[in-house]
Amino acid sequence: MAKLTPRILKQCARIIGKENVLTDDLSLLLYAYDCSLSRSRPDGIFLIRRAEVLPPLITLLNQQHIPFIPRASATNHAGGCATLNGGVILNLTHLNRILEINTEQGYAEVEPGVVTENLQKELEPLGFFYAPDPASSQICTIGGNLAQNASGARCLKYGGTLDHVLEATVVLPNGNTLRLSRQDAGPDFIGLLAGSEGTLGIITRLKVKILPRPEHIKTFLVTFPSLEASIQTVSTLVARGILPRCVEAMDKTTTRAVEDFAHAGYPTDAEALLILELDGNTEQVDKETSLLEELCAQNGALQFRCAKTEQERENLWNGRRAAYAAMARLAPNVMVGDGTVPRKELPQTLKKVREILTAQNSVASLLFHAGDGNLHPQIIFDERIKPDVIRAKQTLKQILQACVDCGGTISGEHGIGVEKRALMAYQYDKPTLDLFAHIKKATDPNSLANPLKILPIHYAEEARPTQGVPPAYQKANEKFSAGEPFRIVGKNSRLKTEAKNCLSTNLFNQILDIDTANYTVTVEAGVVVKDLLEQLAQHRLFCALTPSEGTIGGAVASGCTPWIYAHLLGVEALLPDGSYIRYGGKCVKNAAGYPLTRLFAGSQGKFGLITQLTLRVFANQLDVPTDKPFQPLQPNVWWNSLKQTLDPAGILQ
Amino acid sequence: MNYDSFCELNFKNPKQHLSVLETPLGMRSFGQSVAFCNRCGLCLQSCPFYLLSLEETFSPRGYNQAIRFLLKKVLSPIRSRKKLQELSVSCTLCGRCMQACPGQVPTPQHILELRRLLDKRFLPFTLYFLMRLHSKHPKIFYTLARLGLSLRRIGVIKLLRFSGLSCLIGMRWMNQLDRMIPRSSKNARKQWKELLQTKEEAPSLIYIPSLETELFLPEIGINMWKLACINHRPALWAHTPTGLFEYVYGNLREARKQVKKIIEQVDTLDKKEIPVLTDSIDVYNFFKQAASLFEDYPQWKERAVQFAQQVVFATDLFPEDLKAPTPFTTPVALEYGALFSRQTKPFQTIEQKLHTLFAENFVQCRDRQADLPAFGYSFYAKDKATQIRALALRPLENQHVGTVVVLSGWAMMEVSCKKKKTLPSLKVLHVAQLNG
Ligand SMILES: Cc1cc2nc3c(=O)[nH]c(=O)nc-3n(C[C@H](O)[C@H](O)[C@H](O)COP(=O)(O)OP(=O)(O)OC[C@H]3O[C@@H](n4cnc5c(N)ncnc54)[C@H](O)[C@@H]3O)c2cc1C
Ligand code: SF4
Ligand code: SF4
Repeated sequence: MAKLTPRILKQCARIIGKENVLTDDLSLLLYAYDCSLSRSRPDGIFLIRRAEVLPPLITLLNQQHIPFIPRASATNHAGGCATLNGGVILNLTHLNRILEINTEQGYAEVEPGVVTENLQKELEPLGFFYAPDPASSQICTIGGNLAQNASGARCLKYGGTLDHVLEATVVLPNGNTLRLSRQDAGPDFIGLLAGSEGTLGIITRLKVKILPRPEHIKTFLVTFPSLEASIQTVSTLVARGILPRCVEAMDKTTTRAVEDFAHAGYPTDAEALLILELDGNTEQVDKETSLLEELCAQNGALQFRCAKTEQERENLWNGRRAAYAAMARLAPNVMVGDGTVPRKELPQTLKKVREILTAQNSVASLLFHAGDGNLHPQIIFDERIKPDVIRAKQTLKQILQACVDCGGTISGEHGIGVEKRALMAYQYDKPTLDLFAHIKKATDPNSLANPLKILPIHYAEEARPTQGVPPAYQKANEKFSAGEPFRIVGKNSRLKTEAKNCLSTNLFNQILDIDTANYTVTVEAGVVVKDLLEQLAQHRLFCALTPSEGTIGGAVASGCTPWIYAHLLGVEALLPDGSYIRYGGKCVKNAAGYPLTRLFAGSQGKFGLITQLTLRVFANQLDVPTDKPFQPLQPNVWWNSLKQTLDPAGILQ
Repeated sequence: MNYDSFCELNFKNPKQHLSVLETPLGMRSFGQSVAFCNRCGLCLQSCPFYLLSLEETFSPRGYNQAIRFLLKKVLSPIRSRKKLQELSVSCTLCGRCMQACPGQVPTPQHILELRRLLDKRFLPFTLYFLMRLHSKHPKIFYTLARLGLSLRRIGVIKLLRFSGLSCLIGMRWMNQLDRMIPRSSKNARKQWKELLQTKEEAPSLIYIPSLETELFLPEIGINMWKLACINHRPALWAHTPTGLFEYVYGNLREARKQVKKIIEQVDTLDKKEIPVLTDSIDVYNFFKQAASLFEDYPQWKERAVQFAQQVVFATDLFPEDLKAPTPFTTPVALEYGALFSRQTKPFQTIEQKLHTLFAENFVQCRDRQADLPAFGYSFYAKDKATQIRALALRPLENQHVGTVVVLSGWAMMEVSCKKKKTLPSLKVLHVAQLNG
């Protein structure tokens, strides 16, 4: 990495204006932190007041090998804004214009520095809303949200930021501009951008989906005699096709702490407390309410309370909102954890977490989004006392490891940054981490965009032991090693190729697991969609695919069924270099590493062979759009460089 | 690292700033209070100055971290003096950040201590000189001030302005003051003068008018007096420096002296626990914090705590059957500008009263971005103050407010100053004027 010399500074000042370059001691210190414990002093701060200055500025920084770190409101908990290797901070808070709101077509076009709640406030009078709702929405930015794939209580029903971005403009680490759209044929690159934490480039413009505000919202407070009963209620509810607008949960210890502080009227004798919201039209909400009541009763709910007035609703939420404040008053610092496990594992994980907290003698509140298995321990400590910091870090590390042990992930929404990068080696094996590294290398060869984030430094030795290529796919592996170019096909129902040398996924056609408690299915890529749907139907389960003769691998990789991407939870794939990657699983959310499900979705078999997929399933029939026609790829720079890195010999045709 | 070593930063004058603060969560050492900022950023969007600048350097989080770096000696107060001064004057001490903060970190208090540490005069020299005079030799000050007002009445200040002389350095604040001070009626001036001379031998309440009321806003004084007379035999203590200026912009020793003087004066009365009334929410907040001034003076501490409890505001004197003076047809709003915090009791009481008095006609129009800048801000940061003031008053325009209720003479002057141009029909009422 090069040093930021006065000469380079002068050149930069010529592009962005002298007054926008800060190098004084105080500014360097004040842009050195975010909401995490990480802190390191940048070499300079550039205040970006117009997006147009970014391409020439980044080109210059790239030529001079100066790392750059985008920074918006710096509310991330991951240390995403720390300058690990020197470099400059690009402050993006001034790019805060809402450029267009189009209610007819349901989108808003914004600059990345728009504060999430400000967009919400603009939409409110128009009868619309923007679904992603991180608890920090009053301060965080939409660009930061996409960079972290932030989500909130509404995630279960509406999805995270990633599912709400229709178009994005990115200034790449070499200064070129790339426009991405959900309409593009090929991999879901917007998906790849979500959670990239500024390591792939700087997002300079976004077009996001906006939705009509639901007619009716009902809020409930339900208490249960056990955590298991509360989770079971949520699982059954979701499986019955009812997606609550949000399901927030607390265990007994947290409820007591919150009640002591906020006096929200929460009953403190129950083991678990849920705050649920249903939304939709009046008729639908009424129907769902009676089902919810029935399910709660079946699972032994102790109390079922429905907010009758706006004030009551506000009161119910006040308690939940106050949980963070209750902790923030007890000690100078709060470490907010963010692990996710498959929903059915929640009770067991929570038990483990409480054990860890007791063993470590840590005080923490424990909140979780019950719908998506995302838990947020809030551990209090004092940053000034070293042993206290070590204890808090150790506690969080053990909690996240417990999440991974329960089949979960170290991040559901807060990202990895620098704080959790060492733990990436606990979650992933070397080939998968290698793939993350390849993605970074392909898109940013000089490692200038927010360098050294996400990936652990010495992962080769520390990574989870690799299980190698499963025997079932050895044959395919041999085909890769042979070095002859070939095509991957399923039933050839969409691709309709006449190529001679093909690798058919027909042989991998097992349905590996139908998890009726967790509502996921894991299948091999060669399973025929129709067969899968039939099998699921026997368990009274459904998934968002139309019956077809094609394979599930084909459906995902061809790009003809893009709505299924949001239901893709895990992927396993064999890469041309013979490495076998495993990403995701039964967790509804995963913000650890680049979302590989999105890289392979729509990749048309050009990056590797998808062998297994895990999908969400439901207990009710879903409205499924008809499949889109097959569209040949339109390669963009990312496509080209990724292809070059992952398959340099061009084996996959 | 000893965080409580704040005093070490300024050996020479350890008593010039506070080392223990009265925070919403109890007494905390300065270092401890700053340490409670965990950088969550939840305060960012509530700070008017951050919203204007969108820079970390001018945000509550930035302020707290800057102080933290000073305490840790990572940042040199000498090398970064200029930038620190810029940072510390940018805060309007409005306290909005404190309300948004989950840990209720008292950032404005921290900024205040930083200003004291930097030991710089932030006000223009002439104004500073006058304020000194006010605290040291009130009599001379009042004579001079009256002379100034008489000169203004006969048009001398206008003359100065037209001749361009008022633009000279050291004279500019006069323009500002001239623009802000409303002209009171002759009748009110006369009545107020009479009141100032009344004597009450056995009072049941002491009314200490704020500087701005005493000099420029007799209407407020008269109404406060009437309010006090409902249930009390008040005594009016004119020419009593309240220390507010020293507390906010100066050396704390002087503020301490003045509070002591008031307490000593109260102690000469038969009834020592007599209520002490003030007409400015800022003076009220300052008196309420009197105890923190005497943290290192055990012999005074207890009395200061008691004194703080004695202090009352106009809202505490409202009669049960308070009736609005005239029927209001246009919307009525409350202005929330005050030093440190809007969460103080008077705001809550007045909100309730306005609800009962005006029902639907009382509109909540608080700008998301700003309140009126605090006492004196307009003098040292005029440009910023103008922007912040415009933001704060925007909702009044948007909601076609006809009357705005303010809690201090200062806020009345700030609103009046702006209203001349954009809200000519807006009526500004001090809370005491609500009582018929
Ligand atoms: C009190 C509190 C509650 C929170 N609750 C939630 C929650 O419920 N759910 C949740 O998901 N998160 C939550 N967070 C975390 C945080 O708010 C989110 O991660 C948020 O998305 C960060 O946005 P930001 O604007 O602050 O981005 P920053 O923190 O400034 O940046 C985040 C990362 O993105 C990069 N980045 C920023 N802007 C861009 C851009 N335009 N282009 C490329 N890269 C960029 C940065 O380099 C950095 O790595 C919470 C945080 C706090 C303090
Ligand atoms: S002052 Fe409070 S709200 Fe602001 S960053 Fe610090 S802790 Fe958060
Ligand atoms: S007191 Fe007001 S101006 Fe000062 S930091 Fe807080 S919100 Fe900002």
